[in-house]
Parts: sequence; structure tokens; C-alpha cells
Amino acid sequence: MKDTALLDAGAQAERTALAWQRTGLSALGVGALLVHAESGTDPIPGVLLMAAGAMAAAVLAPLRYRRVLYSLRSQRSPVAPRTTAALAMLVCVVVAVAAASLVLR
Amino acid sequence: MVGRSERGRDRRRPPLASIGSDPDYRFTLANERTFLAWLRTGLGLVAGGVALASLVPEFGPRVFRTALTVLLLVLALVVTAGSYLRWERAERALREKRSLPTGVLPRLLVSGLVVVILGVAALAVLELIRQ
Repeated sequence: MKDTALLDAGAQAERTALAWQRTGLSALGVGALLVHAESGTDPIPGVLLMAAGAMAAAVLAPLRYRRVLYSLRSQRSPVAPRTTAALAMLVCVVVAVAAASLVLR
Repeated sequence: MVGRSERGRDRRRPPLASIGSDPDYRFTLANERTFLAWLRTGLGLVAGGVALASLVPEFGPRVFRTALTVLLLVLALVVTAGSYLRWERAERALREKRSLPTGVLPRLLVSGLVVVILGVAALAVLELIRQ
């Protein structure tokens, strides 16, 4: 951790950013499926999931990468409790709303 | 030795950053990636539920399909909420240098999926008989 050139040894930060990106793309796909499957009814949960997925893949992932490198440089833990909680909460809400609109139609 | 929680059950737990000491950053990132993997599993379950509800309208009796859809979506909700709880408990354990908690998430997911697979298999058999 002393050598800046070796900060991302084992590509930990990069792998984590890629995992964020994969998750975002999955959300994008599932959101598209929701919109497609529910054409004619309320498209909001699908659109919300697609927007969140695109955000996670295009904005959050690179942001997270830089934040992790920054934390490492300043010798701090790269833990991100609020981002984690917010993401889990968002997916929970979307699942619940999608479930309600699928089952109650 | 700050804020060691009673089996992780007490209600008002101190914020993550205030307990224990920073673990090896690789463990924190691995924990985060595991959380994301669980989240993707939850999204996969949603996809399965939506597909069953909307993409195969001729596959078996409607009630049966709806029941399986509900089960898949409930599983998705449990996995998604569980992904965060698991992440949080693991991070706490890492900071307090305890061994990682095991949790019920894998068992819940597998038993739920077994029911789903049996249900889909039953639907497929019904479909074969009908033809």
C-alpha cells in the first residue's frame, strides 16, 4: 500500500468496479424485461430499474473505482455502507412494486 | 473491543466505522462483491418471476403459474433484503476480527428454488399430458 503503482494489486478495485457494472447491466436487463412484459400497464418499476441500472453501470462503477483508490491512498477502509444500503433498498422497492403490479393485475 | 454486539441481535447497533478496526481492504471489497453477486441473484429471480407471469401465457393452469411467480418474487425480496443484512454482518465481523457469520440465506434460496423447480417440472408434465 506504500507504492502508488501497486495500489490496485490483484486488481481488487477494478474487479469491484466491474462487479458494480455487471450488477447495473443486470438491472438494466431485468428492467427492460419488466417494461416489455407489462406493456399496457404501469411501466414505472421497469423504467426505474433501467435508470438505476444505467446509473450504476455508467456512473457509480467508475466513481466507486476512484473512491476505492482514493481510500487506499489515504490508508482508509473503502467501506461504503450508505451506497450499499441505498442500492439494496432501491432493488427491494422495485421488486415489491413489480410484484404488486404483476400479481394484482 | 468496542460495541461487540450480543450475537448481532440488539436493535441500536453502533455505525460500522465506529467499531473495531479497519480490516484488510481486500476483505472489504470481496464482501462488497459478494453483496453485489447476491443482488444479481435477486434480480435473476425477478426475471424468472416476470417471465413466468408474462411470457408463457399457455404454460399450465394460470393459478399454478401465479403461485410460482409469487414464490419467485418473494424469494427475490428475501434475497435482496438478505444481501444487505449479510453484507452488514460480514463487515462487522471483519472489523471485530471475528469469524464470518454463516446465515440462512443460502438455505432459504436453495429450498425455495427446489420448490420452484419441482413446480415448473410439474407444469411441464401437465403440458405433456395435455398434448
